[in-house]
Amino acid sequence: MKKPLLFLLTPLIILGIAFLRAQKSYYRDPTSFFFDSTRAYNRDYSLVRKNESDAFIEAAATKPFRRTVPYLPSAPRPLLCIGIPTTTRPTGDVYVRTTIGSLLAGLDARERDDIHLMPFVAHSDPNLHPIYTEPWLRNVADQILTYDIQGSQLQHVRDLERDKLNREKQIWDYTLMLEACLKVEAKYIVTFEDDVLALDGWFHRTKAALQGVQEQVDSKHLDGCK
Amino acid sequence: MLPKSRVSKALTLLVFYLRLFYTEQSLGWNVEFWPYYVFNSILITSGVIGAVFLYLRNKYKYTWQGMMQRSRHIFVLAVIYTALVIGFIFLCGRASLLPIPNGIAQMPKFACCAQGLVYNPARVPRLIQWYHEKKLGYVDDRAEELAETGEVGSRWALTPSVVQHVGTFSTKGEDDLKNGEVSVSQQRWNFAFELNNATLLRLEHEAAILPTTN
Repeated sequence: MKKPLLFLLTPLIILGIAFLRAQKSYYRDPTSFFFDSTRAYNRDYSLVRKNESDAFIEAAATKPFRRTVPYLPSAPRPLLCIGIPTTTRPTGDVYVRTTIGSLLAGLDARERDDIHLMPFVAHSDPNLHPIYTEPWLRNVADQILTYDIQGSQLQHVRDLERDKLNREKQIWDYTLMLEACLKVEAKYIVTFEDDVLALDGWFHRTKAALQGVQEQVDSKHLDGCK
Repeated sequence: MLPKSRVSKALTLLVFYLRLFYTEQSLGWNVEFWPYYVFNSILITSGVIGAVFLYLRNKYKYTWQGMMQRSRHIFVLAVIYTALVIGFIFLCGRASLLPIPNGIAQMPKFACCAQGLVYNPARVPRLIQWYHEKKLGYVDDRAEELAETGEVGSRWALTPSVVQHVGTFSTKGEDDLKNGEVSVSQQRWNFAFELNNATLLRLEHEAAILPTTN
């Protein structure tokens, strides 16, 4: 009687232990049964990084950190043109300071020279956005994009704003931003929303990833030619 | 032969974008793949039970008929336990058990959100034209639609995500949510991002910008 009982119970006990372990390990996995939404959204690293970003922005009020390469036809083009469309939210929350701070905090001068940073204050009256008049913005942005349009087009933007046609305005804003980035002739065009946070080292990882994609595409193409 | 610069310029047309943010939310077990899952489950079940019987046969010189008569209970139990284990594996979640390896990979489907994307400038004029045609919509959904037509090249994603979506807190209506419920915008969340270690990231960054490694 002993042996069958052992045979019956051992797997159940092992499974029970595994179950308890899984509750500990997989609570952050949204594809898991053990996902626990009360704990899964806890901010750990993003809080650390937010502090670094905010400290950077505070210092940037008196300390410029822009691309130092002149924009001449003979000068090297930046690796990335970064466009960030930003508008105020109905709630009044502003995340874009943290976004820009996290993109720049920790970069060294050579990395910075590879970036053309272009926030887009997407209000027909840019003064409606609190960051537009803040000194740090001019110290870190290589170009501050605003609606440089006249007459009927500007009226169109005002209409979109008044009627709260966000789904149409978002497309419109992105189109303008992408066109402005194309003019910069950077090797790549990056779009970030105005409520993201980048980790320390995002730039060197992205750069390596882009090289990797290029290599994989190249090698696949050459294989296909054989 | 084409000069090298011209070759690589043409090749870049094969890429549409590299994704810097995604949420694991959409990377679960997919119903579309059920034949694959069933096949693997059956394979594992028969493998485990076959191995047990093979062991008994070799060690105790059992015959197949003898085993089927004497060990029917064991056989039934083995099937039940194996099924339990397989069920448990599925419960654990695909993102944890079959995670996307670090580095770059194509992610043509199940990817979400435009929080951070690196576009290939050679493809941007077509995207702009597409936005003009569509006039309204979500920029990310529209871009995915364009990619689905197959005319703008492949979609890639960087793992782990180097960007987190933080604009999710204190949005309107959050107070109405019950404990444990999250708003739609907060679901745009990369769960692995929060496990980053600030010290390790800084050391990695410092190593990456050393002049010699450039």
